[in-house]
Amino acid sequence: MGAAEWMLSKLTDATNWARKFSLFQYPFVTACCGMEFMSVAAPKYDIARFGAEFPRFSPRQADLLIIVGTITERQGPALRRIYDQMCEPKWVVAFGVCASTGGFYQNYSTMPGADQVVPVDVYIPGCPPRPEQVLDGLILLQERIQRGEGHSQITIAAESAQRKAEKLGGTYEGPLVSIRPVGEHPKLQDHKVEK
Amino acid sequence: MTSDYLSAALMILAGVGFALLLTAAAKYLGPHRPSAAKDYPYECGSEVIGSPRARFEVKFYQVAIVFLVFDIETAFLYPWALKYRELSCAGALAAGKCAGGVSFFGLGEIAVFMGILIVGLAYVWRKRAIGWE
Repeated sequence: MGAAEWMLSKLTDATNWARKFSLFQYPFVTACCGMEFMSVAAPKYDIARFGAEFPRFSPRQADLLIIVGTITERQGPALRRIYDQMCEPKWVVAFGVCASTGGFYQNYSTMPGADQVVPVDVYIPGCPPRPEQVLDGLILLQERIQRGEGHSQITIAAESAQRKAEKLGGTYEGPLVSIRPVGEHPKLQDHKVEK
Repeated sequence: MTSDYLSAALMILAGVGFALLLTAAAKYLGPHRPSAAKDYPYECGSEVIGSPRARFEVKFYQVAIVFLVFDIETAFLYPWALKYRELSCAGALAAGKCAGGVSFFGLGEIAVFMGILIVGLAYVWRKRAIGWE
């Protein structure tokens, strides 16, 4: 490893360190899990201790999408649009079993997990999860961010490597892009989307 | 003298420098992935219906103008009411006791002011600007 590469890897480490302790959440609260989310955000459990204290209600200012509650089939496109509008790199946490798998709902209207439309990085089980579980999930996410393993981080790194390879006249043979584009999404076909 | 302002200058320099540092870090370290979705207006994920530059009924303008008349009336009446005792005393006012005779200056002044406003009110009433039909 050359000196320049070593410097670059240290810079990436430092950037990821900064990212993991400055998560700006967008709480996509749709159901009763919202109460537990409020509890985590409030002083008793105090998510601010982990640097994720500032909920933003605009995707332009957020990089962590927390899906709190049941996602219906009709909400899918809206959720995906919000994800697409967020700052990069971005992460997604499925808060509770409904957001993770659809939970106890087994009907035509409930989406069996938010990962049908957005790439979820961390799943927090529980109906609803206890605040401690949420904090545990957040720490797991921070570890992923530090390792650069978030879906969005992998995509950005792959795109950057691809550009670099093209510039050098070679071909890129790295990890595949892990976020399925909106246009190729079976759940989002009937929906007017911006690519 | 110089040392007095030196700390303030350092403070300003540090503040501006920090802001520039953060902006530069965001620009050079952050990934740039522009997309059509990011340019799309944020409406909680819904599709945008219509233009934000919608046309409003002219009635709202009338209401705003009439409101302004009454608003200014209140804004002037309140300090006038607080000073009324002083204004209606011809001599010096000490501990709530008036040394001189009665003055109608304050009352007359506000009567002129209210008269002008009442003329305006009568005008908008006659022009049927108050009703909402």
